[in-house]
Amino acid sequence: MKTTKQERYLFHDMQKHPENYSAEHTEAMMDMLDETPNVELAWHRFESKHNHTSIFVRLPWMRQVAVLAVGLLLSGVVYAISVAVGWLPNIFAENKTQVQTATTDTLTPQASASTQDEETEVRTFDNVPLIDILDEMAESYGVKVAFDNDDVQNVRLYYQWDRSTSLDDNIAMLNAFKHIHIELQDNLLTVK
Amino acid sequence: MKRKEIERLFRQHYAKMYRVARTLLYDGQESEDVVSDIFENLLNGKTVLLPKDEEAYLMTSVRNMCFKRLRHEEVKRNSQSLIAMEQEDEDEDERLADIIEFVVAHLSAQEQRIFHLRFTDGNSYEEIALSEGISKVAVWKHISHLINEIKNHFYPHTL
Repeated sequence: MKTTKQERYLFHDMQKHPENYSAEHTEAMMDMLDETPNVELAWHRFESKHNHTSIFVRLPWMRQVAVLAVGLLLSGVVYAISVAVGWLPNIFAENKTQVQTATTDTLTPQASASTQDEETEVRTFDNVPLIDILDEMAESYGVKVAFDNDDVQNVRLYYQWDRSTSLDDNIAMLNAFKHIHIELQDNLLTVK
Repeated sequence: MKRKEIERLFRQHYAKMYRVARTLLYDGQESEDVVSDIFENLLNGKTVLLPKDEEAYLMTSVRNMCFKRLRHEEVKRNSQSLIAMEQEDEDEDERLADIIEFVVAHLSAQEQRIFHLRFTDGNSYEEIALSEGISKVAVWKHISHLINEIKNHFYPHTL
């Protein structure tokens, strides 16, 4: 919170002339200065400023589900409006046959949306399970993947993979995520 | 320094560093910026810290950065040019190294202890009062006195 000039002046005056202020005023000022900051919030601010990875995965899973549900709902509403006003074609009307013949695989939620910028060699994994990210990276760097901890296989991440960076650098970036600990030894990536 | 290491240091030391910054700068946002800048420097730089030196390094850094900000404010208030400010910056590091010497030479034994309790260990006013067996208001007066002494000596034109 940004303070006003007057507040700052009061603080400096209280330091310069403590004898001019009552014990009550002084104690109130000390309590304010000793207020415990929200370290978690400060870390998230710092991290979002310096990390290209999303803080989404750090949310409790129920909140992740809620965020995804709201996101899907909103995109559905936006799509419906766009179809109604004629900005977008109605893909459901045109592809009815395809939906009827679709396999069960296509009915499972496919939140993953990975894109690749050919020019910058940056591949963006948007809400993709860790196992898929590591499989793709392992293939590219010529190593194998093993999961000691199966629980994290399906943790979904937003991650920007710059193919021009080393595998070690990418492991360091991924290890910055909570609950993810990857080690590379003898061409084997082990997720602990 | 590795990101994971930065996160550990941040979570472990942020609250105390922020407290020191607020004692000198008062402004919450400015204090947050100072502490974040220190971790940013660690993240982007090549500094390696030994575990035993971590806390001392971080607390000294926050104290020094706050004094630098106060110095910049002073220069701005006196309408000195930016070039002058940059030139003064070179002398600033030496000046900051002298603060501890000044504390030892010019402050009473009790104020030296209080200085370290607040600015090296990041203790709260209440913790210092308990440790010294004096009232919180007395702690405030001691800290105010020692800050005034430091400012008058090193930054005579600061508010």
